[in-house]
Amino acid sequence: MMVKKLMPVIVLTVICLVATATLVGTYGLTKPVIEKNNALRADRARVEVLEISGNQGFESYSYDEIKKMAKGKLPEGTVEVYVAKNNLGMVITTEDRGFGGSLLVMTGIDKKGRIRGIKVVDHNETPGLGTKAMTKEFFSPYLFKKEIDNRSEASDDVRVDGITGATVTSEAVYRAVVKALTVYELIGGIQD
Amino acid sequence: MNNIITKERLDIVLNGVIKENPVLVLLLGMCPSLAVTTNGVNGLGMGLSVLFVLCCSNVAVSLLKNFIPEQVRIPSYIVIIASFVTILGLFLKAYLPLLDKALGIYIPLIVVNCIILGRAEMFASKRNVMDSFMDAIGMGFGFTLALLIIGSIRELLGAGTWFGLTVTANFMEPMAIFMLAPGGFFVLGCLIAIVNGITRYRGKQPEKAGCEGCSACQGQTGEAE
Amino acid sequence: MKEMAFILTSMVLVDNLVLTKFLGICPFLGVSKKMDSALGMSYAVIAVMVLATAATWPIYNYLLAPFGLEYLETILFILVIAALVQMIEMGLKKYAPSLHKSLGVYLPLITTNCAVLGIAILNIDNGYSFVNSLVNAFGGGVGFLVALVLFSGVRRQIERSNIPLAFRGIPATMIAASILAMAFMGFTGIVEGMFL
Repeated sequence: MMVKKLMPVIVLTVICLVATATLVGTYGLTKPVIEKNNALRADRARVEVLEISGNQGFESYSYDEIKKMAKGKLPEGTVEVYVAKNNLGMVITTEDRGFGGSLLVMTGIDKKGRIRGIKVVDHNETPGLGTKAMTKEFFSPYLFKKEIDNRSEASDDVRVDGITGATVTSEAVYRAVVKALTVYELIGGIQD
Repeated sequence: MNNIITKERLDIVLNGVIKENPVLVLLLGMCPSLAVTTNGVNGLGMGLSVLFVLCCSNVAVSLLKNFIPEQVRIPSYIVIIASFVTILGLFLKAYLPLLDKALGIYIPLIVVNCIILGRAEMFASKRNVMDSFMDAIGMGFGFTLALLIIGSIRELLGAGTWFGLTVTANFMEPMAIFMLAPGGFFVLGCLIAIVNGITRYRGKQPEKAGCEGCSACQGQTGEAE
Repeated sequence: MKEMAFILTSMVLVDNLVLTKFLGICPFLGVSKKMDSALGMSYAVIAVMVLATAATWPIYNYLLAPFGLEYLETILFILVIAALVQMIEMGLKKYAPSLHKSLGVYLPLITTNCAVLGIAILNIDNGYSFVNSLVNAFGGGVGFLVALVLFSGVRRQIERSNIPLAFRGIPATMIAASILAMAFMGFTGIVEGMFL
């Protein structure tokens, strides 16, 4: 009698348990693949933004280490810092808020403090519009500069431009790169 | 083979694609239809994802229909559907990460896609496994077709490309607005108008469906008319 | 404090759930014909969104994440929301029958509303704190209300106008929604300027 009343709950519980078991199993199967893919993509992006000959891979600093080195003045939106072995440079990942949410940008800075490469690795911007602020053409004025400024009155050696029609996105990318340069400065650049 | 693929089953499939197309006729599953159709690839990807979940859930519900008591019907269906959606999400993350990024938050939202819960409630819980599977295929294809059309139109007008291949971008200025929110509403509205026009031309009344006709939600829209 | 004001304003204007993220479309299209239904539905949605956030945020951050079980997010969240709606309905019926009569009818529909599950997931995706998540949910609900109320007025006008047969009903609503969405797009950039 009691069982009959509890039957619906029992059935539901059984279904939940079977479902959870299936999910745990699937997760176990896919987790290694997902992690491998993520690591691969991040590595490839890092090599892309710091394209210097003799690059033998990167080592990362933990967030606490970076905070200590920056003596507490780390800008908000600093995500991670990777140093190239051989002290060839650093790849700094920073984040800022764009049109569709947060943007993740990787900036490669060489040991002279110059920008060598930029890559937007995660974004929710409008394809075809905001994505115009993520192309090689957009980034070319940024390359080899140690300091950037996107105001119209800035002097030519630091000037970088935005994109009309995609202002929010291009501003966000600009801010993220500025943050990366700041972090580079704060942690004292590359010590030979 | 002949008594599995009967004419009746083929009719079920065609029904889902044309006569009762979930997006353009039944007016269900609008959220993803508008959100991910910024281009043809995403539309196709979402369509096929929903097709997968729909087939799995329809078959599962049909198999279990005699074991699930009336009172826990809806919660059980939800658990079943949510499991398949999670499995789909994990596989996409692992093997198609770019599509996973493009579809984003709308993958878990497949769970609350009225189409899947609606078909489980209105069809799979009452028919046998093979019929339910056919219904899922039909509805899934219909959904995919609708999304493919919307996505293609928005991509063509908004970027001048189709599936990434440049088509009109060189001689017609693309109108980016079509890839943004307003464009989605506009294109879907026009498409439904076209479907309505064709229906009226054939002498039938367009259905007044949408969430009002979705019995899984108990048809509650508060329209106390 | 500034951050909360920023989240609230952006959820209503710039990141409006209905007009920019297309969440909550189904009730948006079905309910917005009468102002009363529109308001009633919206109040119910705001309440469910905030309560759902209060329930799902701790579950994710204390139950799932610490044990690496993030992938169970979808299934747990939707079950919590469904259970929550059931409990709210029963609670209203018992303790506030008049409220139950006016708002209770919308509750079952809210379970499958993309917006509720959507906001629960968005809170986690954006990495908001508990308080910010609640503000986010409240803002999302208010944005929903704004869109619905604006729309109910537009729809009433549409009913009185002479529209080509094929466009009557949903198509006209969609096109009106597209214009409304365009108007809201104009708010982008204002919010950043106001608070940052």
